[in-house]
Formats: sequence, C-alpha cells, structure tokens
Amino acid sequence: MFSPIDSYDVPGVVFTFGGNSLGTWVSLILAVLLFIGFFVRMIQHENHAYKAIIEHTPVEKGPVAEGEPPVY
Amino acid sequence: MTPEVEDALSAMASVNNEFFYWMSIALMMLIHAGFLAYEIGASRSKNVLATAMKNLLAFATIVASFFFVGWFLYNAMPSGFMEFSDAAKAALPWSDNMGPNTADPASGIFWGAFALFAATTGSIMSGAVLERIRTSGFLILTVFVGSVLWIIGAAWGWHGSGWMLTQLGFHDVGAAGCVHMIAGFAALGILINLGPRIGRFLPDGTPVTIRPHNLPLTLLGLFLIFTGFFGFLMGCVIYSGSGYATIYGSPTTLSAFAFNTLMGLVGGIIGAYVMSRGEPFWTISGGLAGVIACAAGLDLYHPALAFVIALVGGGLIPFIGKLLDKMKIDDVVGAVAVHGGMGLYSLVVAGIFLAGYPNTDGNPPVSFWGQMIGAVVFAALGFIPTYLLSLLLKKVGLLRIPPEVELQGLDLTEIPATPYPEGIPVTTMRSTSGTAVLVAGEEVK
Repeated sequence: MFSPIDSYDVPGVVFTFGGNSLGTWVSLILAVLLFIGFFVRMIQHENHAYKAIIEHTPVEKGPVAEGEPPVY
Repeated sequence: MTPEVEDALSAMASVNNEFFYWMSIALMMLIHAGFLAYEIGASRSKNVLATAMKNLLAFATIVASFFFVGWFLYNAMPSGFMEFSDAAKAALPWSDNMGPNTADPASGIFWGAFALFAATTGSIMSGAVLERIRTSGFLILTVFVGSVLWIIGAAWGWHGSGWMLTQLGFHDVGAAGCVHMIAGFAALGILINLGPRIGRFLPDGTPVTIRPHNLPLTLLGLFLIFTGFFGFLMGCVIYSGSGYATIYGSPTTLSAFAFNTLMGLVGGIIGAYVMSRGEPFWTISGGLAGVIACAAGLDLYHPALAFVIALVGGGLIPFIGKLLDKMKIDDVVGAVAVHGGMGLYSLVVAGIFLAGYPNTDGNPPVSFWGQMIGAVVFAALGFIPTYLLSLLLKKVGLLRIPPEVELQGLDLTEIPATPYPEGIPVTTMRSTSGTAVLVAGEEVK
C-alpha cells in the first residue's frame, strides 16, 4: 500500500511512501512533534515530582513498581 | 580486467565500506555503556537510576535530533556559513538519500557513525553536571551541543572542505577539537550557571570530597569507554577499497592509529597515576586524557612522542581539576579537565610538533598559529552559546532541581523504582586516628 516500487529492477529509493512524498512529510512532521512533545511531557513530570517531594508525598500514583520505596 | 570482475570488486568495496562503519558504530555503543556505568558509579546511591535515565535519554534525543538537523549542518556549513549545496540537500531528512535506498550504500552508514560521535559529544557533559541538573534542562542542552554546536565545529575543522583546513591547514584527525574541546568547554559554561552540589564547598571555599557510591563501577565504565574509543577512531578515518585516509584526505593507516592510540592510552594512565599519587579516579581518567592528548596527531606522531605527550597530559588533569575546585566549579567526573583541557592541549601540541607537515589538495601546511586559531574557535563555539543557553534555562527555572529534591535524591523524586532495595554495601574507611573502621556509606550534605 505504501510501497513506492513495483520491483527491485532499478536501484533507488525503497523506503515507505517514496522520496519527497506526502507520506514522508507527514511522518517527519509527526516525528518532530512527538520529539518536542516528549520534552513538554518530561517537564510536566518533573514539576509534578518536585512538588510531590517538597510536600512529602514522594511516590506517584500508579501501579507499584518493582522495589518501589515505601511512602514516608 | 573484465567488466564482471570490476563489478565484483566495486560491490565488494561497497560492502566492506558499509561493514567497516557498521563495526565502528557498534564499538562506539560501548562508549555509552561506559558512560552509563561510569556516571552511575560516580553518583551517590540516591541518584543512581536518575543518572541512568539521563544517559539513556541523552543518547535517544541526540540521535533523533541528529537525524532532523545534525547531518544537514555538517554538509551545509564547511565554508563557515550555510550553503544549500548538493551534499547539503542530500542530507535533508526528507531527501532520497536519508532512508533505505538501494542506490546509496553510504549516506546511512556515515550518518550513523556521525550520530554516535554526536551522542558521545553530548554525553561527555552528562557526568560533569550530575546530581543537581534537571534532566529536561540537560537534554535541551545536550541536544543543542550534540546536534548543533559540535557538528558545526566538525563542518569547519573536521571536514575535507572545512574552512579551517582550506584556510589554516588545520590538523586534528582524532577530533580533539570538535568533539572533546567543544564538549569540555560547553560543560564549563553549564557548570558556571548550574553551581556546585549542596555541600561540595564549605562557606570558606574549601572543597569537600563527595565520594562516588561505587568507584569500581566507574573504573569499569572507563575501560568500556577505552574500548569504545577504538570504534570512535575507526570512524575518524575514511575507508575505501584502496586503503585509508584521514578525514582531511591525507593517506594514513590503521597501524598508525594503533601505535599512537595505545601508547597515548598507557602514557596517560602512568602520568595521571604519578601526579595524582595513585588516586584511582584520576588514574583511569588519565587513560582517556592520554588518548585525547594525542588525538590531533594520531596519524603522524612517533609512538614514543605520543607516549610523552600523553604522559604529560595525564599528569596535568589532576591539576586542572584542582584549579576548578579553587574556582568553586563542581565538575563531578572531571569532564572539563579531561575533555576540554586535553582537547586544547592536543591542538596546541600538534601545532608544535606537526608544524610544516603538508596537507593534500593544495591546502596550506599545518602551522602552529593555524592550530591556535582553531583552538580558540572551538573553545568559543563550545563555551559561549552553551553558557548563554544554560543562563536562559536558569532564568526560567529549567536548569537546577529544587534543594529539597537534591537533598532527598532524584531517584526517590522522579524514578518509580529503587536501585538497591536490599540496601547498599558497608564501606571500610580510615578514621582520623589512622585505624581502619567500618562505617555505613554515609552521604555528605
């Protein structure tokens, strides 16, 4: 469906969507947005974690992880 | 020679070329395994997993961002300014060359090797800022250095068409300048804004040793880095079917690199051992310092000279560390001394011993002043932008963790696991009376 080639007879681009295509651009823009989104999410996580430790609630809500420290 | 034989030889050269750099990439991964072990060991037990996360995420973010912008910058900026040459256009992340292409067996493998160089450059700073930098702030800085700054420096001074080569005859085959100096001076810029760990200096400025929680792990980590550096130096030569050349196009051999890398490594260890009076951390750091001290001229030094250069370089690093202590700069792993100091030393020494050596393709010969100008450019390129960006991050509260977090530890704060659920080992320490006593591994605050 996303193949740019019908055969391997002529050497050239074989990556999904093909060179300079809409699919390539959408993938690239999505990748960059997710990359930036990772930083935003990380900063949010840090702010939440710092606030929790300052308020003496160091363990975040969620499933217990292996070796998780106890709540003080 | 028949066309069939020529085709077979051409195909074989292409396969060998890809495999050569594939192995270079694989070996360079060991540098990151080493950084991980080294920095985990250098941390106190309350920051072990956060340190590991910082290393992993630095690697991840640099490689991704190097695909987005880094490779383009290398190919676009050899003249000093951005130019949209054919090579630059081919390095744009949406070009036909930046993905699987059966007609291009070179772009991906060279991009991969340079991505690992980038990750190495960015990760060098990681240890210096341990235990008090915000991971997000560090990642912003390391992406900036790993995917922008160092690769601009490489385009200028570590490229067959770079302006430093064509105008100055600059010579630095092992990337002492664009990788080590830029990373070391960038680390210095960050450290000035970041400040020392709580308790690292007394109010009168006296430095307090904050012990690594696992010094043997730091030693293992550095040995992994040594191993990985053989992959790093593989990537510093151009391999073709007819032999090897330096990144500047002058002929060389891996034998040359083997002589001087090993002699530099051992010279650095010995020099650091003597001058630090057998301190393990500085001694093993001396090995890395020795390789970096010789890096600029690995293709040309006599091995005995490489040994001497490295021995002196290894002997210098504890004193650079003490100088930073006097300035109340807390560099946890000695990155500024080992990478910044030795990168600078390497370029200056190459200017002394390699002055007059010819370059190829009509480029000017190596000169002392060409090396000095190159060193100043790399120092400024590493320090100034990183200092300014870290200052900006400090202003917006993204550089340093709150003191409450620093005291209780990053693992407890932001990592949903603990490294040593059954406790940490007890350490034998010398008491003030000189008798050996057992005490729990206590944190200095």
